[in-house]
Amino acid sequence: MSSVQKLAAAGEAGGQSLPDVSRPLLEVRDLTVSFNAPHGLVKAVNGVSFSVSPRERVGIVGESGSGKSVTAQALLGLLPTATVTGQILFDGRDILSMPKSDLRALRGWDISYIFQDPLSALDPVRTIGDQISQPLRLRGVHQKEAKTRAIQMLAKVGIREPARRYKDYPHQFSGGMRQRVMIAMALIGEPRLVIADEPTTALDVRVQAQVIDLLYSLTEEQGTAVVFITHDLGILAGFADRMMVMYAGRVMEAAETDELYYRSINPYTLGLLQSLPRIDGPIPLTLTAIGGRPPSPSNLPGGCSFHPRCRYAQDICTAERPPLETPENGTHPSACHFANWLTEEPGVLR
Amino acid sequence: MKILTRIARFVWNQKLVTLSIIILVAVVASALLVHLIAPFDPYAQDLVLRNKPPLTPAPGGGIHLLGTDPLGRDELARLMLGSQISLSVSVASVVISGLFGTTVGLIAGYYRNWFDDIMMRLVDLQMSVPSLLIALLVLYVLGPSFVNIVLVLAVTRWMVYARVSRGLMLALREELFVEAARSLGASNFRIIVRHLLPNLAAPILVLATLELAVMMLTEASLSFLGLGIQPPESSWGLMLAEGREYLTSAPWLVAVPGIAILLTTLSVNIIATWFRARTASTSAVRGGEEKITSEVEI
Repeated sequence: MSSVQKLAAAGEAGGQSLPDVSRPLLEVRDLTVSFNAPHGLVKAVNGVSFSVSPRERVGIVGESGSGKSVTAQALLGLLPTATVTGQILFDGRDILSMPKSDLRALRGWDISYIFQDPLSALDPVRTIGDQISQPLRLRGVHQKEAKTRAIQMLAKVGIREPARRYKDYPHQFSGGMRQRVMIAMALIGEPRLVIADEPTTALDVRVQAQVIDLLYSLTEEQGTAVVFITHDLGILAGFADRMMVMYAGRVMEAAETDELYYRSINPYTLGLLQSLPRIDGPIPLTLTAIGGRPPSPSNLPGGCSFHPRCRYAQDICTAERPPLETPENGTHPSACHFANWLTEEPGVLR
Repeated sequence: MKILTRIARFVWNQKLVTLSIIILVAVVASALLVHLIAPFDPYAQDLVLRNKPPLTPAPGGGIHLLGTDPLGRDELARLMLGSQISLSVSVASVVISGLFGTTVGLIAGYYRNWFDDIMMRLVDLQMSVPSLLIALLVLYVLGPSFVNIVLVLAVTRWMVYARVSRGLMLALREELFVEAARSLGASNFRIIVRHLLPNLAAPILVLATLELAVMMLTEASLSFLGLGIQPPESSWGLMLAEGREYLTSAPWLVAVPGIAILLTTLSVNIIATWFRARTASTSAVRGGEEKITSEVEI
């Protein structure tokens, strides 16, 4: 049961309808993104559909080149050179067809974006405070008030002496602190949706945990929905309500977080899970890797995109692309011809 | 006290820069205050004292420190008067060409559209014609005057700024902070003015200082060729031209303005180099300095 259904059910059970929860905050329908490159068409995203409810945290997991970052950028219309088709409905309005000025008004205010690399995502010649208050200033908030709120926000993300640091430049901050600043920048407009594109990749492990905790508590407090993009399955365990595994620009499997970890019905997800060290078992001497490489997005294999690397691939896998469907007795959708079988015999591939 | 120690340390560490600053301040001061501090009236002629060498005593008291010119006017006073025109022409033309060229470069480099194509082909075209030739032609048609000289100088050098700022923009526009600003809802105009321009400020300022020297020399060349400043006004280039006839009998007439041009442009260049080294570390543009130097060669 997705959390949309959960909330709706809870609302009915209580005899009152909760406002607006039945409608997803973000709904992506059949999104495709392609780039015109000198060596041919690069198909980065090929028909991705998903939705995010208000206050929900959704994780998108995939290898490099799986199309996860491109999907994220498409959500804010940040891909001027790409051909984007499908629908991206935010609060019922299509981002892809709305006028530019409406889109600008949406950015940083209703939807904001946290970038992967905080070192280069901040302008080196402008002060931190100037940059944090920018989303407010863009909406005509008076300078004094914007400054007060920016300093409050700096304090919230755990920057000590925020009033003094307000006037500092990015190079005076460490990597972890810069990512905190980026989070402050993304959340100061109290957006309804935050897209976090591998926000912790550039940080060391201890700082990673701090930043994720911070993002969790702040979005919880503000009631912000989060789309969290990462290549690290482990990071999302305590964070995401729901997860989506992407491969070669397609969704392979989508499920609630626990469901995905314990009852995955997709060989690719299982492969990813097996490549993680487990904390509750004996420490393995070697980790199981998925052989081969992800396919080039300009030359995708026919059938199931994963078949060249899949240990269980059969003839049907090279011939036919499996749809993303929930198997008969299954709980969540998976794009695999053998999802049914994997549901009937859980653990068969472990 | 603290400020004094800091100044003292700067003077000690940067002797050459300090000297350059002193020279420039002296030139600017003499240009601004010529009628107050000049030892003689720069227009007062004394035909008895034609082409006297430096350190000749004046009959009315005082010494002609740098000698006198063919009309018996004090060479030092003439030099100070000439600095007015030389400085104002070069500063004005640097400001105009800098503003225009940088604007073109910003827009062309940011949007990379038809405007970029047209403007850059225009730049190529102009680069292939000697700028002095264009300047001479235009001044010949329009007639030499202060405003015309400034405009012609600006028109012949704007493309240096356009090229440099466009090149830097091509790198800057791909920076993540530009995308970050866009993701926060900033418009293109705001991104260019608030984010990209400040990042360009340091390299463009360095380029402008270098160009100041180029402008000063070009003005001198134009005046020397007779299509620049016209007498009785004076500029260093004009003084050089007027002294040419007496090169064998009164060499100081050429040496004095020549050395003045040399010292001023050298000072400007030294300060520009120092400034460039200082700002290089805080600039988001890597390789910007090499770009500037290579553009100036053209």
